[in-house]
Amino acid sequence: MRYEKLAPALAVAYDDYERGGVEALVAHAELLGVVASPGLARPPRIVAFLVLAEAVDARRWEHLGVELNMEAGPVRTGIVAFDAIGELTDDPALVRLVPAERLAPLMDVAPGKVNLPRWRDETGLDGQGVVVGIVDTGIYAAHPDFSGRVLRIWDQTLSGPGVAEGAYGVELTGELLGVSRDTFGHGTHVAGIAAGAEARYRGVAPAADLVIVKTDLLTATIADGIRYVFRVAGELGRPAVVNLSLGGQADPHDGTDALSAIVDAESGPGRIVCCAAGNDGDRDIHARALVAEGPGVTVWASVPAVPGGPAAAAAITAWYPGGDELEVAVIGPSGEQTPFQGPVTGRPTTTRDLADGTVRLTTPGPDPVNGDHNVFVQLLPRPVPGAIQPDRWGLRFRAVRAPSPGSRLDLWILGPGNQFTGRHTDDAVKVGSPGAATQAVTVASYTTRTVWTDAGGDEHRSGFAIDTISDFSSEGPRRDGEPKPDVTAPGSMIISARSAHAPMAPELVIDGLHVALQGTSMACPFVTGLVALLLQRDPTLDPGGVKAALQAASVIPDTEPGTFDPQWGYGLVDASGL
Amino acid sequence: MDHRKLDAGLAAALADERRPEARLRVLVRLRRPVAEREQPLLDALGLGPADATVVTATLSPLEVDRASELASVHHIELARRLDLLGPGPGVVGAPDPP
Repeated sequence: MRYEKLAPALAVAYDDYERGGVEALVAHAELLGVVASPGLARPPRIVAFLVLAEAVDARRWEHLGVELNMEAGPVRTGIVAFDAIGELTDDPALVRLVPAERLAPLMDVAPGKVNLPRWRDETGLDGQGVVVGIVDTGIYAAHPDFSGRVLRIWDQTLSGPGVAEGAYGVELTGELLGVSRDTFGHGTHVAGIAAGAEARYRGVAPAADLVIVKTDLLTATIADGIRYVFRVAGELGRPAVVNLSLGGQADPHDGTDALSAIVDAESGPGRIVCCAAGNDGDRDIHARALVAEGPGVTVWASVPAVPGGPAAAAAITAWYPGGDELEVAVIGPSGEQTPFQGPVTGRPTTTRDLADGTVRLTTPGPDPVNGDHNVFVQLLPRPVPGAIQPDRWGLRFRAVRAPSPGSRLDLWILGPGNQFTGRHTDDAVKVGSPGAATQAVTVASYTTRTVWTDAGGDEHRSGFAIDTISDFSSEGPRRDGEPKPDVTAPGSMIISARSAHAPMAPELVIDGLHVALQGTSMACPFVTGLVALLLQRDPTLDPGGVKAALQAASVIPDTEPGTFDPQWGYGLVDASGL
Repeated sequence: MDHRKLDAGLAAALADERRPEARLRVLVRLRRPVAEREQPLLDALGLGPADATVVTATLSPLEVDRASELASVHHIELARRLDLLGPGPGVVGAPDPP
């Protein structure tokens, strides 16, 4: 028997059982998940979290009477017979045994910080009659937070006949919902924030129904997913709000890309789309330069190599006004430079081999949608690992035709770890598609929690400042100057539903059903839930009406209401003002 | 191929793609109303009969070529893979994206 593996409350209960038998456990049943009664035939058991040191088969301790509920992950829920605790704790695979506690119906911190519980109590709004669409990594439909409220899942990743919006994937309902699995956990967590119904970590609209799209994250399939949710809601005669906790930086950042166009076209009365602003607030992924006629300017980028692995690839996308004409050349870390290349009306891509790697330049004529020029640069690794050096790459631009004082050039660097360096780095215009869509309600992240305790009892800290904008929250405005993001909501750290099919780091696991995550992904469904409540009150609200209501209820601390800030938007939403 | 109608990402992908059987997921912006004589061609490419201005499709390089030559096709954009926007930085042990 290894007592040190037992949580203190369980150790006391186990001692009492050893001394007094089943009768002694009755006193613990009030607080712990003890299944024990002197009248029951089965031996006394406890509902518990099992913190594991290694992957174990679900039947490993079946001979002891231990039932594991979850198939994978370092923390499992299970039912453990008291008589098995001694032998169970002797197994090195078990790190800790923590009893499930009976919780008081307390709200988590985030809703209280924006006065949501009080407003919801006063208005009686709970999202009933509204469809919340989650286009994400799927959902753990059997989670008690969603019990009976997942209407349909379109799993785009499974082989099947598809739906009206696309002849791929499978639509699931009823008992077949469980065929689709959220093996990443992101979508389940997002859905829990918007519409989870559990008492302590209750979502914003706990009575809303859910329509889920498990997507492969391609813009085209996401677009099909948005249309699917609105079509299903329309058939049910319900208003709907779609949550998109995803984004990218490869678009022109002016809301004219195809996915943003679809968000705009699909939005309308009773049809709202909420988007996360992005998590690049503390990364130098945007640069801006004025390119005048003359020697030109060089924008520098750092492309770190992966130690011991193949060289990292990087891509840079740049936009400048269609009436101007610029040429671009790429300078490798060793100083070797490609020839300059301007807009090409025919095949616009050329490939050049430098000593440091392969460079591909694509410089088409003006984009037919927004009229601007796009320059797309790819830095490609050679077949030999390490061919691209972990050093500075330069993009040299010179103007063939530019107004005074120069052509305004905006650049974004893509790929993990890649950043701009030098004087042209610009901490703005980092809200990409679909958050850049004009009709989208685009949400920045506010930090309401920095400390949390995992299921094993260990305390963790995020390192961010509390009660302010999250450092990682991406800044606007759009490239064309339009204000984005729109509003700010709690996004760090947020405790919400956990998928049983997704492995999670132990430090993020709060209990068998909940996990703590952060990001504008978590702020977005907070506003999605608020929009569901607004649509319950007025099913005809359109994006303009929703934005007006949210903005009127938002404020940036220590500023006048109605003030816009590129990182806060119009500020933190206060539900009591809705 | 009318390269003026392709976004830079699609142009770069086509420059790299030698396999005629390759399939590219794209978003196609159409000019409405579509000329009557072009509707069967759009249908054959999987770009009709939806009445949306932007439609999604999966096309081979040859089909991209054909679509780009149609007057009713305004722009063709390569579908991009987006990122999940959580967990954000600063969290140890966050799982890798799918």
